[in-house]
Amino acid sequence: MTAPFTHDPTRLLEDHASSSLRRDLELARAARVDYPSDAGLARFEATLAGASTLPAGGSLAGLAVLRWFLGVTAVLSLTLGIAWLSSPSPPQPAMAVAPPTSRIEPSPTPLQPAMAATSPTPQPMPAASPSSPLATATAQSPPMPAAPPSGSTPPKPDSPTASKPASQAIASLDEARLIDAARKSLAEDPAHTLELTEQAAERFPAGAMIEERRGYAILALITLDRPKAEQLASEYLERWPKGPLARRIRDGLGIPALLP
Amino acid sequence: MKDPIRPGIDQRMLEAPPPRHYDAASLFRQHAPFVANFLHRLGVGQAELDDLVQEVFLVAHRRGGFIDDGRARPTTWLAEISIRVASVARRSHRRSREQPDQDTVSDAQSREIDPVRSIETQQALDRVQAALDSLEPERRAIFILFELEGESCAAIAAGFGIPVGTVYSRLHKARKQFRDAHTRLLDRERKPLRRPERATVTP
Repeated sequence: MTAPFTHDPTRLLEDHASSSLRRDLELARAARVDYPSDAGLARFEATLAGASTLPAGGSLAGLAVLRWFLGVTAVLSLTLGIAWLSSPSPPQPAMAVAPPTSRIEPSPTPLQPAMAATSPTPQPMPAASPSSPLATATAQSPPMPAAPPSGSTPPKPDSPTASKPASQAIASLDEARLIDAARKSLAEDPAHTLELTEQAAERFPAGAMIEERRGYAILALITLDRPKAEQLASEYLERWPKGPLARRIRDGLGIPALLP
Repeated sequence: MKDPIRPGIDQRMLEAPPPRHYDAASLFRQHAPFVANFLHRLGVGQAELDDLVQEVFLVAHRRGGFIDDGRARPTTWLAEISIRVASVARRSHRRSREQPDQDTVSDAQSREIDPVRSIETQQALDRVQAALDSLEPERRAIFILFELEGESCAAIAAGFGIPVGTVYSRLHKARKQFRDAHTRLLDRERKPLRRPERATVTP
């Protein structure tokens, strides 16, 4: 018995029945990687100081989604902006080009979950208690429409479809930036993350990044107010059990992972 | 002495000092070499070793550091994170090495003056690593922690969040697999090396 506290089996290193195996294991046990701890620590502390946060669990999915979203939104807003500015008459066919996914496109139909909050019907996911920051945020008024670019012609009354997607795309870009800022501050300043997510909820209650916004808010609350985080997490995981942030939330709260 | 209510938890462990918190930086100072070794034994190559060590401690940071309550040890807790990080990295890169970068290890520990002894040491390390590679990731991790890092089964169970009986079971299977693989490797080395070539030349 080598371990003092348990009835562990005899280690192979102490098994006298197999000398060659024991010898090899002794050598392997003595072999150590020459890791430069000082340099590694300096890099690690620099990373922490820069608040560089990759998603927990080693997954790059959340970061990839955010980057993808920012990129697509930027291209979309640029395309729509150019088309809108260069069209004195009814919109060109290019204006009708849909973005690659329904998640980016703020559909006017009430069937989209993201738009459900603006409709009189309640959201599919019940919001948190009234004292919850998420609940407070989701109960706010609709987002303020983004102002048109200065110096540009005002939207024409006969082309509402041209101005609406453009302003929505700009709003989506702002929302994505806000969520990205919340993500970046999570490691160093979770309170700021919570503040930014609340701000996002106020400005974009029916935004396209509700899942990320609520996810980062829960991750921040794990540090700030764990009972509240647990309460919100159950609703979140019920709605997005396999979302990019679901695993981090489970890890943070010690909730068992989903069975494959 | 076992706790009658919680089998696998020793009574002396329950009488441990009050919980103590370790932040990620202090964990890094104390256990970065352990994590590097463990990742390497899991099959991580030298090129990505530092990145993954950083990743392990970033995850530790995001989890709020380690609270030593007398059950899990920092090493087993970090090992659990390392397994996840290595697994994700393996999937991301879509590659898994057959052999780890043994040069890293040999440079560090095998500065033997005697060249024959150095070669023997290198062969022994290759055998151990090849036998480790034959194990499934979960069993390999438990085997490394128990046999090479000297962790107790209770600490491994607490670190991985699994019952200690599961650790015993996986360890038992891992040891059998490891022994079989090691024996096969030894037998292969003892056979004449040139036999296949002779067979092709002789009509």
